[in-house]
Amino acid sequence: MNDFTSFDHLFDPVVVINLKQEMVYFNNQASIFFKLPPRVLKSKSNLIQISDSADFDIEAWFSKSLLSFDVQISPEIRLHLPHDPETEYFIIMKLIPVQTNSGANFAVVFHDMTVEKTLHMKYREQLEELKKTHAQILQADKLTTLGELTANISHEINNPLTIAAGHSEIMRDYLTVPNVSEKIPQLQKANQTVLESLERVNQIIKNMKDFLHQSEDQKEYCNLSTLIDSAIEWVQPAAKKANVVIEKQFNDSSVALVNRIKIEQVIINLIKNSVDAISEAGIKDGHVKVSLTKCDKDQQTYIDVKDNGPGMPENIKQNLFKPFQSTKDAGSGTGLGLSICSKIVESHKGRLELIESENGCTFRIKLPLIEVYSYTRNDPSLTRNMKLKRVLVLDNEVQILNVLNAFLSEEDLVFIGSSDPVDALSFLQKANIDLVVADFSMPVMNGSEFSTKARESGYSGPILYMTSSKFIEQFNKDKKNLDISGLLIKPFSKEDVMKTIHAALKPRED
Amino acid sequence: MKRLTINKQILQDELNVELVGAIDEDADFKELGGLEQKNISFDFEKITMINSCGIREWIKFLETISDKSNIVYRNCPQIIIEQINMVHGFFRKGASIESFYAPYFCENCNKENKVHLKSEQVKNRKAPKMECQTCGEDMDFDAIEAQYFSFLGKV
Repeated sequence: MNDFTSFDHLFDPVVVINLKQEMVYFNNQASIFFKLPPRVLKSKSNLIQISDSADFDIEAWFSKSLLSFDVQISPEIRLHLPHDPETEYFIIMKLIPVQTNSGANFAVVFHDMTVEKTLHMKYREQLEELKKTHAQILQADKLTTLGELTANISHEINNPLTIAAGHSEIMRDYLTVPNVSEKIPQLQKANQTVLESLERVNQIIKNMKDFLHQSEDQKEYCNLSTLIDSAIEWVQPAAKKANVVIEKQFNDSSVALVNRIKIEQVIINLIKNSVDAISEAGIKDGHVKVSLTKCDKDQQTYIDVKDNGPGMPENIKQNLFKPFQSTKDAGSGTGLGLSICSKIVESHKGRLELIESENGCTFRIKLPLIEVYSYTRNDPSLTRNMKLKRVLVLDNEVQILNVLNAFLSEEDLVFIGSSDPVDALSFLQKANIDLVVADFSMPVMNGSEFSTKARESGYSGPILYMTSSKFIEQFNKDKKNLDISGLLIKPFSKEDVMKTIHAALKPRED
Repeated sequence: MKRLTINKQILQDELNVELVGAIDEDADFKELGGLEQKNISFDFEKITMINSCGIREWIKFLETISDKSNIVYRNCPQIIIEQINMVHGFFRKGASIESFYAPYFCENCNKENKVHLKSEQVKNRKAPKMECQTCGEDMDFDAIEAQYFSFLGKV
């Protein structure tokens, strides 16, 4: 007589089968699990009579597994009970050999994962819903911002339209005079004014469309001073109405790798909050200063929005970046602004902080330098495949950075952009770079000077110049003296770029 | 999706709670929070399903009931008895099970029956004799007595 009663103490259902797959024992949990009284279970000869799977052949698995006297674990199985069609389990079976007096038997232990699986599926569904809701909230905030600015924007559109209409009338009048050929210069000037005014209207509408467009999280290299100018333009009408002067102070010309629309949204939100705070406090000579500075020590760029408003009380500061915190009256402002702004900046591996709150407020957007951000952003691909080559591209024109980023991203190359030779040199010393592509004519330092310093700092990898054909002579000199591997002549095609880069990356034959 | 309905009936210092549906991860006992009535009964007759998440929610809820309340479980179906026997804390110390359902089988009719029993009918964890209501023959208890009635030792 075999004694399997110790299985009765287990929480898991256990059925013992012999080599013919006949059931010789089951514990009490098995009776509960299979929803059959012991009387019925005893009458069944094998497991297939009481359980089934539509996507797994249990019988075949047993047949194969019983051949070896080893512990076997099944994949996750969807199990049905033929006598109770409404029941569905997700289980893993463990087959454990049990040597007894009557020969080889196997304990089949059923590990029920149904609850875990259900919870996991619910979690995934709820996570997707949350992501969608978050995207809708972001879009709603944009619409709210746009709505608040629209009244002033229509005024902005009216101005150039009025100018265009006025100058069109002037042109009409000139065209009716007898000696119209004498009026050509005036006609040309009026025509130019009309075109510029209409272009201004076009730009305002384009900006609105871009702003509203549900942007994916696409990042590009952007000139931050241009971005700040654009944000100020949005808020200018509201500021004028509130008699608030907006100044800007650009201490550095920084390029950042950002989602242009989202960062613009953050800056607009911050400036608008300042304007509103000044206006509500009734401050007569209100002003807001937007400044741009680079902090080499922190390897970050700072955008500060500083106002001379009433500041912020301590109790508001504590929950400042949490959702639904608002200093505005009910019905005006959703209170979502700073929470969303904070999330947007964090998604750029940056941080939004309140650094001054007593004599007015100063908010600071901290963004990582583009070299650091380009590198860390690509980190998952680097850890996945250490064979990927890292290419540092140095050019002060953002369009070139974006074009080359697009080219290289289609290949298995990691693109790290830089717009400042000093930053690029500093970065070269910290990171492993396989190739440098440098614009030859940059304002701070030209390609030769940059390459000389790079070689002096210990960088021995290939360097390519990007330039126009007039610098070919210098290239030939540097080719010898600074071991410059090649030249990309602007304007260049994708084919030229990739061919030259791949050639430069090939291991050298010594 | 919520699949549990809670019906309450308050009679002076007595609260009768009827639970209908499934006790699972979505079960929400908040509306019963902080009960302080002297006598509280829970009727499980209409419970159709219970899983490990639901048990967790139930135990958490029991902790919110005042120690001074007398708790009684009524009309417990087999799935609840099975949980009471297995899970520590599902049944609070000092509480009592007034009635429950036990599985019986009539060999003559070849039919399974869930028989309503009061706890006092079970002596020494032995299933009381029950006759089939159809044919009058004695029915067999259709589970393992020692295991099925083990909760009576906890009461």
